[in-house]
Amino acid sequence: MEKIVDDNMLDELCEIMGDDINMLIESYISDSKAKLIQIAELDPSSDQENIFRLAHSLKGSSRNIGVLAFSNYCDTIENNARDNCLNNENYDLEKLNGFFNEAVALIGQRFKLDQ
Amino acid sequence: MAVTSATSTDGTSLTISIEGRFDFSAHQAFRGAYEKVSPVPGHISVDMSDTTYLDSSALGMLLLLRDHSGGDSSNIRLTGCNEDIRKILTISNFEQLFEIV
Amino acid sequence: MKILIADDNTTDRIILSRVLENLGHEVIQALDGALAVSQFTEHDPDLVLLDVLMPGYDGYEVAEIIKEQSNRAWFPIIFLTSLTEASDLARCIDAGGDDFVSKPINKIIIKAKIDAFERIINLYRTVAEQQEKIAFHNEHLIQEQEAAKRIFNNIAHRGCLESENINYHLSPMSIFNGDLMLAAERPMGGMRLLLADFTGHGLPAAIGAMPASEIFYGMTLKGFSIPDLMVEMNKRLYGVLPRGIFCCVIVIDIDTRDQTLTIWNAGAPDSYLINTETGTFESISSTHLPLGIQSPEKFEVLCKGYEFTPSHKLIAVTDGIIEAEDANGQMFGEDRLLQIIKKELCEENICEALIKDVDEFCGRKEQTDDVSLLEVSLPSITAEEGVSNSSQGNQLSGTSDSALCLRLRGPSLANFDPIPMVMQTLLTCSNLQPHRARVFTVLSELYNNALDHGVLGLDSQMKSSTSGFANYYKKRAQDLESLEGGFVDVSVDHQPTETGGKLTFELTDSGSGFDVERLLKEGIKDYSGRGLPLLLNLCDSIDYLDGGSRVIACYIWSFDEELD
Repeated sequence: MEKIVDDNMLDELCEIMGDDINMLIESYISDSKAKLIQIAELDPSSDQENIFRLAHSLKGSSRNIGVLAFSNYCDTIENNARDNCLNNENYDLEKLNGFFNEAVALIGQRFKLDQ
Repeated sequence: MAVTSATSTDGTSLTISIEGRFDFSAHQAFRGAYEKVSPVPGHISVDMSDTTYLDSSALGMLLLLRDHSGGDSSNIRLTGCNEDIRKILTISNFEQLFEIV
Repeated sequence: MKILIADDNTTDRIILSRVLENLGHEVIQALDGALAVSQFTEHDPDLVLLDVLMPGYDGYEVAEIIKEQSNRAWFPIIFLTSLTEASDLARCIDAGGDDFVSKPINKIIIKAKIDAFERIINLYRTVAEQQEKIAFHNEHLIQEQEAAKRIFNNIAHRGCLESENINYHLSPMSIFNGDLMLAAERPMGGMRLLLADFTGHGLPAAIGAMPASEIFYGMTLKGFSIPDLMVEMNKRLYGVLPRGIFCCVIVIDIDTRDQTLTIWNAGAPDSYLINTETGTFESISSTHLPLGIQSPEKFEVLCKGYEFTPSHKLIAVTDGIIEAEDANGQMFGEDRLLQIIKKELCEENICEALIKDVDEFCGRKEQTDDVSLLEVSLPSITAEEGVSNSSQGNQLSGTSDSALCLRLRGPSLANFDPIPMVMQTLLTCSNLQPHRARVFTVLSELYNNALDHGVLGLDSQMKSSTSGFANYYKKRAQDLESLEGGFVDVSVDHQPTETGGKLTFELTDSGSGFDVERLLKEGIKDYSGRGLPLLLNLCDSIDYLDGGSRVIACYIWSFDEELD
């Protein structure tokens, strides 16, 4: 079972960001939420280009925060979108949102964020 | 261009060899080859068997060497000169100043 | 450093900014490609970190625009990418990127890359600063050289080098290549030319050219011979030039009337004496060490004499032409020079043909900067009257009323040429200036007759053939060297008259004289070697006494006389 959140990564981020870590995390969460809403509105059969972009962006920022399972699933979507082969099996928005919510819950605990 | 030098064990003779083009680029090395030897050896040879070319600044350097080793009383042999080099030395009548062998 | 980050992903941008700020850099953030371009123009950063995928302009496009706009010698762009395909990474570099960093952001890698680029940037900056300094100094140096060139050109002027009998090639900056070409009309008619090549370049060579030039013009004007001129020039250069710098020289006297050429080559490549009628030529090789090497006590000049008719030509060169190199470092060489001279032998302008060939050989125009080439033929006789620079009016000055006697004996005959001294004394009478060339000719003809045919007993018939000519001068030099007895008395009397003045030359020699009767009766043609027709033409009277060993010649001159 892959890790939802990489704690070492978060430790390092704390070190880098100091007191501004909460600002970063909040910014990540709200930015990602907005992108998840955007992605949900797109039609996988006709809008693979935009899905590719959003998945790529989500993957990138999530890796930087250490949100592993979510970013890996974003990577899968990104690759399939690029290759124009998104289908119901490999493109599961519920699964995507699930990974994200799990991660947000864990991070929220650690940084005592108001959800 | 490469300048090498060797002093005989008794210190009385010095041989300076020049490989490749003997021109201004050899200036420092050539000067260094005789200035570091003290006292000035009585016999000096400039070995040009591996010298391909000689220009007027090289002639100037030879004159400096001659001056350094006593001017008119110096004893300098230029050895192994190829035909081109010999020609340049002859045009300048350097056989009046150096022993060309 | 000032670093511009362009990334549309807020999270990435925040983390990267903080990493760089923690390293002490100033960070400017751009949210997309278009903003990146405008921020770049506004802030002039030292380095740009670019995300590849951005809305609007993507990273590749931004990189191209920035590289285009940057006015720095080198502007570093690093791509940030989570793309992993090799082709994507290669495209980063194609688009003008200098490196890429993979996401997720790793602060250690970022630090290492930024540090490396900072070192390169500093290196470029140092180089740019040094280049600026060098450019400034170079500019300065060129200005100085231009100014120096103007000064040198006034001193080492070309004299009569533009005469119609001369073709030459000389770089405008030749003085800084160490090449010098001078030409002067001789007071007795004809011309003297000098081609000199100082070793080394730049200022040392140019400085040596100044005394050389002054001596050349000064002594030539006063009528000194080539050996006297060269002895003096060597003495001066030996004194001023540092050891190791010397001067190769070719000096040429052309006697228009006798149609002879006297030449001395010290250290320069062969000169070529061409007969355009027969298509033959003769090489004139160096016979002496260059000037500035031999101490004055040991210095000796032996000139060679040649016949020089209107169908003759002399070509003199410095080593620049022989050492001119083509793209492969191959030298032009003496053989090729000779081949072209042979081929162009009858061309009006061999010099031009040669220079064209050197240019073609080298394949680059600037090569001929180092090439000095002189082509000279017999000057026309009209060139020989000197320009009058006398004071105006009929007021007599200087030695207008004087007598001068001089006896030269034995070795002094070999070592001392009295003509310049006598001329200088006579010419203190400035009214005589317009007659300078004529007076000089009369005096030198009389003196040379007394010395050559009187004291040395040389037969003027010897000079009638080309080979005889050379032998004549060889024998003359040998005889002079071994001369022990003998004398020549020179006396010059200068008396003012109502319309000008009267010069009386009386020369007596220790020789056995000659058949004056025969000379006068049988015509002058046979004895042209003694210059008698010329003397009779120039003088008002000529009388030979004591069986030919004494001669009295009168030259009467008037103010404002028109000389043809």
